[in-house]
Amino acid sequence: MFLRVGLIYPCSHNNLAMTFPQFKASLLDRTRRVQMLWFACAIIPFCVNAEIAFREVATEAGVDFVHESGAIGMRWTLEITGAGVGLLDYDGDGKLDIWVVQGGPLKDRTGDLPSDRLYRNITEGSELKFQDVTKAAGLGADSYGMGVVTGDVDNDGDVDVITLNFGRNQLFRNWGTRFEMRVDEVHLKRSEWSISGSLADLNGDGWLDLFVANYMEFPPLEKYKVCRRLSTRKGYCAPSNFDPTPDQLLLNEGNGVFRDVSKEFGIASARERGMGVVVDDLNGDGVPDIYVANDMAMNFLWVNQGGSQFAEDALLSGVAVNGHGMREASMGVSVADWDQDFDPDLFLTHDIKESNTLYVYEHAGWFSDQSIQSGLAPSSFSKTGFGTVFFDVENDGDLDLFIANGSVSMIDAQLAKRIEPPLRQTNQLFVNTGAGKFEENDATTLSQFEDVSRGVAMGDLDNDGDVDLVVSNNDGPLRIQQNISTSTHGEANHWLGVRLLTLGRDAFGAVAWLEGDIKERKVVRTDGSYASAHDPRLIFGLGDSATLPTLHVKWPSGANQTFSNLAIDRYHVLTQSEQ
Amino acid sequence: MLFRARFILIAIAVVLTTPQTANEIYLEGIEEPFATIASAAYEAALKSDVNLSPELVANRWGELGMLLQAHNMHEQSIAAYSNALTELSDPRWLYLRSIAYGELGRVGESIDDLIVVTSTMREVAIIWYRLGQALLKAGRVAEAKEALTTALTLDEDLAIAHMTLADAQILDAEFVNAKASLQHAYRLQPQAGQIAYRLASVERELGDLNASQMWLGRRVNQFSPVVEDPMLSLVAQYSTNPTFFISAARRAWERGDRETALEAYRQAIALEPQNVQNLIGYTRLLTVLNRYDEAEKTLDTLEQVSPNEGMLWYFRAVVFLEKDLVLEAQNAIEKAIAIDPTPEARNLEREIAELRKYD
Repeated sequence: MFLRVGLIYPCSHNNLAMTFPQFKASLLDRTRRVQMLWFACAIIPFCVNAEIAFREVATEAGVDFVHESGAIGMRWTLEITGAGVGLLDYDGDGKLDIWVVQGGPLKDRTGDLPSDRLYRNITEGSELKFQDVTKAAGLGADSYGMGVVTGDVDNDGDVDVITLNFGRNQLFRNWGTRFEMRVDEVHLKRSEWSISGSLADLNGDGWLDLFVANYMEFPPLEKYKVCRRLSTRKGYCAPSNFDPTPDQLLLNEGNGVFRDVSKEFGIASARERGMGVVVDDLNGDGVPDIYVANDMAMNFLWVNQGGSQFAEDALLSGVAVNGHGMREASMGVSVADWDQDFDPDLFLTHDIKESNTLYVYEHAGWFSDQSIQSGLAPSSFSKTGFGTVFFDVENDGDLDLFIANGSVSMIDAQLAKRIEPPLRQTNQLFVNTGAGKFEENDATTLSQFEDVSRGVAMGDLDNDGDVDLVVSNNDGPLRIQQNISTSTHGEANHWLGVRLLTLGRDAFGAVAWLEGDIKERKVVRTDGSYASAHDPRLIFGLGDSATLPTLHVKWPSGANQTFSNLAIDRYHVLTQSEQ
Repeated sequence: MLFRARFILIAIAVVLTTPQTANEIYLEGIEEPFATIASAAYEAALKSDVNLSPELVANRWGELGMLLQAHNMHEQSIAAYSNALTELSDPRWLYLRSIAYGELGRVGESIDDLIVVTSTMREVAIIWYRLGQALLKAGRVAEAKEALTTALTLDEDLAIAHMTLADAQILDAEFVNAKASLQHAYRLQPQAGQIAYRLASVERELGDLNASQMWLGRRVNQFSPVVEDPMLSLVAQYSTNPTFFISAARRAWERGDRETALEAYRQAIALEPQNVQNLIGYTRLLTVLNRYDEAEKTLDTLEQVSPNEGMLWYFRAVVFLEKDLVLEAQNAIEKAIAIDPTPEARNLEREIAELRKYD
């Protein structure tokens, strides 16, 4: 919460490299108008009050990825659902690399197919730089990709990757600097349409288990019947035209060898069209539960019954349908302690005409829909949300929210202009006012592009202590949005970064909070959003406080540990002590 | 007072921003016969004789808007209604445009139109309800309550307005009032599952978990209370697409309104008499309702259209069985299975075989 003084357009000296004729010619363009204001910032003193700002740097950072949906005008529903993006430090150099999921042709998947791409972070200083290491790292991920899941499945200290596909999913074991694709040993052989997944130790045995949200059956393309809505214009078939498929729970039996326990653990007892998933303790009993965002159906809350059974309890918990009792077209999901009362809240993105929904944890495992009260509903009715993340954009100590949007119904105005795909919308940033409400901020580059956004992954790409965002776009370029926000004083706010380790890997499920009056519960995770994977490090925004903080950690084993007098404005690697 | 002030401002804004040229209507890519119908209506509106009164020209645009709205072409219907409003500020077109805006999630624009409409059509409860609902979506709770209370003053049996008022009361944490509003709504339309769900939520807020569970159990569907809206019914009549009526039939059937469901099917069949699936769907409804004579007539039509349809012979068997013509039923079901051995047909075959044992 800062005073907003004068123009809040961002100041950025990197945008001053424009000649006067270019500058003049750009006046009609909205993007350029923003740049013009940046230019003005150089000479107008009050602009130093600018706070929230991003720079889109993909091209200059060396990332040229463009997603290929395989669309050839047939309007296959499949072509508009992908794909996601993952942030991971695959080579252990302390810098986040980018794994981008690719689609490719749909009609003829033979020959030289495009692969997922891996971009190694070679940044020195503040200017982001990436190098395409797809071949060198041995990717060869040439399935029609949807999502990506990251985590150390064999507890060997490096991050493994699971890609979720239309077709067979794939495990990429990390051997330090190279990946090896392993399929046969991991029971990922079922051929489904999978979109999002989560790695979490669900039975407390120290190995990360895998939950996969599967979407629906899709007919062979030659049998696909094009849907025409009442407009009788050819369009994408709604999910209700296809049968749902059950989600999958794969138990890690050690060293990344998985066994499908979906039936045994109760997960296969219900099936809907899963798109997003998060794992967290959603009823306060100390063990992780699973929440699945389902498209045009009631969402699932799989309550952990002791690590070997799950019971579906979303309706009673108030998170199956919105506060009006209506199921919605849920796509992405993010979980975080938004209201800083030390419990998890859920945020779900939805189709147009539906609001996005904020479920706030009340008590005893039940939630209430506070979409309208929070200010998040009104501006969501006209957008179709997919990926979403809670993050503290300016490190002022409270959580803000980003939503990646892109329609699933064709927009006439774009069709008329022959824009393909005619599904473009702008993304949204909502800033926490600190008074229980969010306010939309559309003045940054985050909201600048009309894309068909799907995934968003968050992480600190330049290790400067604030969260950057990487947005994946269906049939469009990857966007890397570097956070260059400052405080009201023109300086960055203070922060504390931690990487929590247990058993030689990131301590997924560990809960951390700072000592003080406000206890925001942060959890080590890479899941959430849509088809994407995040940086597992935690960043605590400290505002202008320079006091050395004390951090409390509750490890997944249940043990508690306190770390005092941690130096601020830097990262710490904190390992669970042997007790 | 608040609304009146807004109305004046918006009215001025409408006058000041009225476009002088018609908004283009994009009709490319739509299918026949709707393409021809819509193009003709567009042409007629575009080429309106200069001697025509503004009201007649506005009606042409408005009717085009209704035609497009009936086919879910909301962006284009907004353009057509806007053209109508350029000619004449008719609250009908404003009202329908507000609904089209709502379909696209453009809540602010919907509210602007509805405020103007309620200032001229003050006695129509449904319009006040729609304004209240839109205001609530925008988070303008106090104004929403005001509009919904007005709606209920005009029509105290408007269940959906009671339910939406309860939503506003919940946002203000007035759970006791919300419960009363919902109970009123439930008495009027107990079949609407959304009312029961809200009652469950309110009881939970009030601390009565048993009552909450009980209401959750009564949430048998996720339907909202039925709204009778003459203007939207008029829009529906502009549909030339049988799918529209099939969807309407399903909705009516799910809420137990069987006659409406049958009528919707009849409309769909009238528009597309050769559509096998619609004929089968209609037959299925008729047999469920034990209206076998009508079912038989429909099957005669179906046989002319598609004699090798498995479901034709399946339903023939059902009808024969109802008339105790077991042998005929057996012949029919054998034909059905030869064409398409569905589980449904196999079950009926077993049932008939059992009956044959007693012949």
